[in-house]
Amino acid sequence: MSHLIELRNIQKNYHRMMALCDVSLSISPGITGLLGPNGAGKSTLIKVLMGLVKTNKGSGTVLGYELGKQGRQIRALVGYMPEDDCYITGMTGIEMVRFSACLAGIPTVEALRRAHEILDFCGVHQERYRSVEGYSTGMRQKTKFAAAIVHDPQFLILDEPTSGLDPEEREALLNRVRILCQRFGKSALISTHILPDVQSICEHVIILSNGKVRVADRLATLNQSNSNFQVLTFVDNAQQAAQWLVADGFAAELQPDNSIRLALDTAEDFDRLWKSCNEQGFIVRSLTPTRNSIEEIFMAAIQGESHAHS
Amino acid sequence: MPIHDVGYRPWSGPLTNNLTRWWTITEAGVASAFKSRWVRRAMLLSWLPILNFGFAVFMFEKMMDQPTNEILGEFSYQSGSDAFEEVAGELKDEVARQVIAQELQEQFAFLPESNALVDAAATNDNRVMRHQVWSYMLAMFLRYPQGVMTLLLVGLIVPPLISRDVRSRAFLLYYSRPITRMEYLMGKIAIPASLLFLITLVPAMGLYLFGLMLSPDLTVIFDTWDLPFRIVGATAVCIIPVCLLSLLFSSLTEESRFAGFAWFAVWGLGTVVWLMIYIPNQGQMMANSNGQSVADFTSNWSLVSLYSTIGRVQFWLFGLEKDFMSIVPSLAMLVVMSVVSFAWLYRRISAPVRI
Repeated sequence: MSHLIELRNIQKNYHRMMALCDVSLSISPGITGLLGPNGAGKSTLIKVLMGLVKTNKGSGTVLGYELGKQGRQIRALVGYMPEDDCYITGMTGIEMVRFSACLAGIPTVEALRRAHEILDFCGVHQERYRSVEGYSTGMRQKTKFAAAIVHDPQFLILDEPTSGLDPEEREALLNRVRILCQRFGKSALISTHILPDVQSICEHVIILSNGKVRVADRLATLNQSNSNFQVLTFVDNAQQAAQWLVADGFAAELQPDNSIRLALDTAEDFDRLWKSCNEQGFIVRSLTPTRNSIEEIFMAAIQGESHAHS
Repeated sequence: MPIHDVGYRPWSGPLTNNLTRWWTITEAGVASAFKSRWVRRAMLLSWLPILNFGFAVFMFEKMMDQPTNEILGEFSYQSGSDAFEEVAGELKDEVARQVIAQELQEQFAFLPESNALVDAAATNDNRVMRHQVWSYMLAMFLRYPQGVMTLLLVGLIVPPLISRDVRSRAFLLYYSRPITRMEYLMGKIAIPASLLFLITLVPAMGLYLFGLMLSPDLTVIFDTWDLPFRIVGATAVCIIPVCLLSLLFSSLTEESRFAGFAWFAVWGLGTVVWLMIYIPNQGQMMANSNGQSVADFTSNWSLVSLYSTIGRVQFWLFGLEKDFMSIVPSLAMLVVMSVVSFAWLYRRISAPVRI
């Protein structure tokens, strides 16, 4: 699979502070989550990708264009939704989206038509004729999203797209991103602190910390646990089964959802489990390896970093 | 709900040229400025002085072409003769020309430097006289009514132009588009520049064309061909430093009222200080034997007033100020101010992406 973005040894310093340190990564088509604690370098990485800041070292390509030299071409193909509560004052919602379309090069009349279409798609109705300054946070988020996609970009960079949205609007916005990526072949990089958003929508994850890439992989791969823990569920009598397994020498623990988390190291352990259950008449519904949650992945990446520092 | 929701549709139409992308910012800015009732009123008010100057041009051409009975009477009284030589619609007599100059001077007595009209009449060539009188009128038009309206209009429209973007953090919305910081700046500069063109260059050119239409024949074009260039120069001398300085003030704060205050303070205080120096010395310059040294003294101090500094260069462009060396400090100050303002402004608008 060809990569949309390739960065090689990118380094960016702000005076003496190193914002990005030797960042090398590839971003494939699809939806990628960009995670990291505050000050990890996410915003700097986004600015580098859009060609807004010059790097001190390294090279790379974005959508086939060279970083640092072809910023305009890159930005023509990228739709960026900033994190900040930013808007263009003195404009209504429709004017702001039309203005964004014109800045991207869409002719004025077409820009107005397209702005209406996109605002319909984003669920902004009659409010589009009101001044942006009077919008709620959620409305501004939707308008910013509309402004980011109005020129039909190939690649979306969404910085905290769901912050300030209620659960219903949050789900609706994520759905729009899904539609764009699945039906229209767009790709997206979503920088967020809301980990469930990443879990629900992203195919790839990049975790940054202290300007370095800690994790960059497919989410499905990261979710696979390296441990020997399994999750066992029974049709009924989970509590009795847990007590019996502990008595039989298994390291088993009953979970709040009535599943049993137990360690199975060898093939003999699996055989012993099947035999025991059969003898005791416990009907097994499922036995699956434990999965790492995105929270665990994130914390492991960050803690690994702090351990390395200490 | 939309009547016909077409959902998301890809876009594959033609795009506008990169080179004209900055004009989008200008268009939006001008449209936004015109939403203000006060800006609309100021624009309308800015066009009113053209009526007065248009009437003056009309009177001058009429007097040159068809001397009124009043002028003829005055001429007869001064020359002591009924003889009046008028050939092919042009005055050939020196006294009659002086009478016309006096008439004009009376009409424009409220404007300074109106003695330039008498000087114009001293020339024995109607073509030179016309050139000088038109230059005077255009210079006065740009210097006084339009100069003051420029001050007001810039104070109304420029302060929020960048400070609003600073406050609402809109820079990333601009810079994430395929435009450069320089194009953003060009688009912003062109907002006040285009409005100021509308109240300075356009009416001044209109005045010039009006004069041409009233002229006896097309040879007047050859006599006055340089005036449009002088108008462009005088307009540029005013607009470039004014736009850059006012935008710099706007970029320095999130509060547009502070930028507006700084703008009016620079103009107002500078002009007041200069007038406090100029007015007491004005009489001495006229009467005293050492008038020239007093004039030099006041002209040196004219640099404290941006309004006066621009005016001096404009006067030189229209030939009212003969000595180039005397306006070099003013010209240098405007150039330095423009360059420094531009560099600082560029640095300010680059700041949001540097962090």
